[in-house]
Formats: sequence, C-alpha cells, structure tokens
Amino acid sequence: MNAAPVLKVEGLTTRFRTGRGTVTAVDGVSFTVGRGETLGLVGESGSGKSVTAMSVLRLVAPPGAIEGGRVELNGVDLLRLDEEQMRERRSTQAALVFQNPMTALNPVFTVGWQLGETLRAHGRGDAASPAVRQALRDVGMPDPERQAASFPHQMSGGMRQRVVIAMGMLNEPQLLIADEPTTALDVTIQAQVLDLMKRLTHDHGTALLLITHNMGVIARMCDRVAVMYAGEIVEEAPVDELFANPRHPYTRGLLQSIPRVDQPRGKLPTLPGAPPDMGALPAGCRFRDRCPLAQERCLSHPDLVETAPRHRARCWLAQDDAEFEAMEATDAA
Amino acid sequence: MPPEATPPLLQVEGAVKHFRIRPEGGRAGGLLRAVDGVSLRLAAGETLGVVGESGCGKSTLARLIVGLFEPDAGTIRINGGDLWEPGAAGRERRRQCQMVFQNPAGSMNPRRTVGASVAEPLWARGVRNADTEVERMLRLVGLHPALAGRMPHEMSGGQQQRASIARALIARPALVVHDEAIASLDISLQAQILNLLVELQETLGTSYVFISHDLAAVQAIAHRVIVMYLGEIVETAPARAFAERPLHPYATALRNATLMPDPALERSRSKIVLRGDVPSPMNPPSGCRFRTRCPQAAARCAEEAPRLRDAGDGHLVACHFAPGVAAPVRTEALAC
Repeated sequence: MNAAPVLKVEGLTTRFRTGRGTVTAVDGVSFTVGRGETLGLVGESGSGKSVTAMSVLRLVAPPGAIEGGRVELNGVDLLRLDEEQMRERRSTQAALVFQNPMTALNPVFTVGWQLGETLRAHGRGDAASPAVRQALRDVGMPDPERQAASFPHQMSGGMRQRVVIAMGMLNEPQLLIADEPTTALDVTIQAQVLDLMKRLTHDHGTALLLITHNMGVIARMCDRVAVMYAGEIVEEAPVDELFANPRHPYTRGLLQSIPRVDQPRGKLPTLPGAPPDMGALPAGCRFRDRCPLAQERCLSHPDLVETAPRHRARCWLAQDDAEFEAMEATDAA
Repeated sequence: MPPEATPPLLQVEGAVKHFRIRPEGGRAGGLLRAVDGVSLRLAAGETLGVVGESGCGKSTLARLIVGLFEPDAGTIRINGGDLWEPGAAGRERRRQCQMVFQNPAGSMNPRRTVGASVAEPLWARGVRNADTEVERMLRLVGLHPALAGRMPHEMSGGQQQRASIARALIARPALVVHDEAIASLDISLQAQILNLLVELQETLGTSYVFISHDLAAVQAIAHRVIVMYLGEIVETAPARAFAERPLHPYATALRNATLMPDPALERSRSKIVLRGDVPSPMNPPSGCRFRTRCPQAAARCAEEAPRLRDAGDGHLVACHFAPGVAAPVRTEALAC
C-alpha cells in the first residue's frame, strides 16, 4: 500500500494491573491497514487480539491501560486526543462491531431508534432519517420499515448481527473494526454476513480490521494477516503468502491442525501443550515450550523481522531459510 | 425388517421429542418439534457424527440417546434392549450411555476436586476406592494424576475438557455422546481433543455419537455422518462418501458455507450459498422443511414431504430431486 494507511499502529502496549501481578496483554504491537484493505488479526484466546481492537478505539477499561505506542488514524495519534475528541472520532471515523449482537444492542429500544441514535450523536439525523432505512436495506434486510420498528429480541441472530453492522457502517467510517463478527452465527448465516461485510467495505473503501480465530474466515475475507501469540504479533504476511508459506512454527502448526471438509476421517497434526499463562511468560521466545523446532538460541527473544518482501516473522529460524528447511526435514522424519 | 444375528449397539427408531411452549410476552405458544421422527444405528466401536445448525434438534437427540429425555414416541435401544424398560435393566442401559458437554467448566461441580468428579460414576456404582482407576483414566486422557486434587477453576479449558472425558469413560460405558465437546476450545486444542477421542476409541472400543455444528470436525472423527434440519435427518452417508459428495441441497449448502483455510479456493467460490434463516421449529414449512431456503424447490416440495431414500454408495437422502434416488429405504441401510 503506497498511500498513507488509514490506521497505523506502532508499538502499542496495553497492560492490566491485577492483584496477582501485571499482565502485558498487548506487547509492542505494530501494523497498518490501508484504505479498502482488510487486515486479519488471528490468534487464540488470550493472545491479545481483542485487547488490541479495544486499545485502538481507546475502549480499554481499568485495571487495563494503554501504556505505550501510537495509534494513528488518518495521521492523528488517537492516544493524544482528549476524551471529547476521541468520542467524535468513534463511529464517524472508526467503528466497532462486536461478536455478540445481543449485548451490543439495547433490548428496550427499537432497532430503528438505536440506528437513529448513531446519527443523533453526531447531529446528523434521527430514527426517521432515510439513512436509517437505507442502512437496513444495505445490509440485506427485506422489509426495512418493519425491521426498524422491531426490537432486537424479535430478530434472529443473523438479522441482529446485520443491524450491528448497519450501525457500524451508518456514519461511513474510514475504519471498521470487527471482533469475531460471525462467531456466534450458524455457518450458512456466517457466509451471508461475511459476504455482506465484504461488499460494504469494498463499496465504501473502508479499511477493515477483522479479528477472528477462524482461519477459514481469514482466507475468505483478508488481504493481509497478522498472527498474534501471547500478546505479540509473531507473523504477518499477505494472505496467500501466509497460507502457502508460513514462516513461524506456530502459524504452521495452527494451519495444519485445522480439519477440512474436503478431507476424510483421520488424525490431525497437532501443536502440543497450550498457550502460556500471560502472568508468567517464559523468557525468550514465548512459543518455545510448544515448538517442535526449539533450540538453544530461542532462550533469547526474537524480533519480528522481514523474511521476504511484506512478510515478517518472529522466529530465529525463519531468518535463515536454508536452516529452516533443514530443521523441517528433520522434523518430518 | 429381516431378523439380525446381533442387534446394533445403538438403534433409534422413529424417535420423537416435542416441547410444549407456553405463550410469554409477545411470543406465541405452541408445539416445538425438536426431534421429529429420527431413526439411526451405530455399531460398537464406531463414531456417528451428527451435524446441523441451531434449532435442528441435534442437542435434543443427544439427550434422548443418553436418557436425559424420554422420547414422546419411538424407541431407543442399546444392544437390542429398550433404554426405558422399567427397572434395573433400563437403568443399567442408561448407565451405558454417558455424555460430554460443550462447557467443561459448567459441567463439573465447582466445589469438588476434579478427582472427585471423575470418580463419581464409579461411586454411583458402589465402588468405594476409585483412586487407582481415577489415576489411570487421568493418565489415559493426558492429564497428570496430581491434577486430581485441583478444583475445576484451577485448570485450563483444555484440561477441564480432558477431565470431562475421563469422567464420561471411567465406568466403561458402551457409548459416549459428545455434544459440541470441542466448540468452546481454541483451535490448537480442538485438534488435540479430536485426536485424543480417536486414540481412546482405539484403546477402549467405546462408540461415540459426535454432535457438532462444525462439519469439518465431524468429518475428522466420524465413520458415518448424519445431517439434521428442523428435527429431521435429511441425509446420512459413510463419512468417506459424504466427504466426496454430499447429495442433499442442504448438506451441499452446509459444505459450501464451511470456510476452508485456503485463500485461493475461497476466492474462487460462488458468493451466496443459502438465503434467509432457518424457519422456526414451532412452525416448520409444509412438505419438505428445507424448501423455503432450497435453490431447487418445486411445487411438489410444498405438498409432499420427501422420505429418506437410498441413493447408492451408502447415501440416504430425503429429497425428491437428489441424484440416484431409488427405492424407499431399508432400515438396515442406516448402519455404519
């Protein structure tokens, strides 16, 4: 992406200070998302992907706090704005779609009222505005008039998630952050909602930061992918490159362990163990304990370095192609 | 049906479970047809995968099979004997069926040690000292025996699910029903648990009914796959034949909607796979229940409910237009 990115995150660090100690949930995370681009942020629970999303919009609540880095939205560092300026930017410039539409919607107001509130908050209209009905039509609601008068509980999960997406897109933000937007949905509905998000972001040139644990969703939706593990980005690459040529052993193990519908019954290759306790991270590479290729130098912490054009990985072995292939061959044998 | 030498381990014949829903607030009451005439068979040591979306009745079917619900009609037989036969015989058969739930934290008593929870099925059978067996089972599911002294909240989700599996297997049941048993786990742990289940089946010979919304996970573990829609079976086939070619339009849609970790393939795929939502199981469409979302629906589909028919290659399909559909099904074709 040659033009200036819509979102540029640099060295973002968010910590939670709890009674049991300090947890660095997001540890020096850097990435960019360009206009019309979709960046996938993938990782398992506790990897820090959701806290990253919340940090970008400055929605981290105590005991959590952003303790370092920059979050530039169209060149302005959001971390330096006061709360009023930040509020103004949320939803007009950057909006968030959550996983669970039932908690994102207020149960005692109609869907139309809640969409109208998004406009009202910025003095751009109310529930009666044609924009509300147009937004519902845009997300594929068959009868916008009737749907606007409905309460959230009168809708199916798929319809509610469409409402939340409509709400996120209503002020035509340049950046949309979607945190597991389809995880609560059935697969046939997930396909509909993903296609809808793809069309909307494409039509409006929205930069999309898509957070998910589902590699299939990543494959379908993203231009580039960043993989998070234990609070850090461990690999980042264009989507085809990441799936075809993963350089970090975690990415590789994750991709291999996913069952596929075009494969018959059989044993899956697995990653041993579980992600580390974020309160007691191992020294050096955080994946070391589970890594089939771990060696002595993994006791010191590797940096995220470029291994190929636009491809970065946080692994000592990935920095040396020949060595990586050799280790792999040994591992396979 | 011709007489058989040995009855299958599990045989469900025309099982029906309806729930009466009282009207509440603005919601209408009525009859929810959760499971509406389901027949299936499972041989000893094999795995039957059941896949479907919310409201298809898969969890109700799970509860019917383990005896948590009694069917309104139809029978559930274990080794040929009725699960609900009065007295000790029925009780013993229900004990032969154990269950692993979706949420391992919620299915363990939070105030008892993991060891006590795992030992419970043996205690229920009057075994006083279960310690040795608990230790053996914990090792078998890949947990350190020292974890027996922990409380559930002191373990990770993956460890909790391993302990739930140990509890389900400790009294050597003939059948374990896994209801979304891996859905709450992280991807790297899902593969671990799937492999563990396969290993345990090889060691202990236990039969599984593996219920999930995730078709790929079902195909990774099942010998035979059943696809449910609104309380009915719409297709069943050996896993291999199903992986090669699902035949029912809903099974095909489910397959197409299951995203694959393959960007090139995902880009080349057709866009919308199915329109609309699943209708309410309280008011299913007439005729074929899938017709409101089916791309192939015709006038006949609204009038006549398709029955499961033999489509060759071990496939049974409930669709008027499925390729190769021949005579109405023989019950024995349902076996693995």
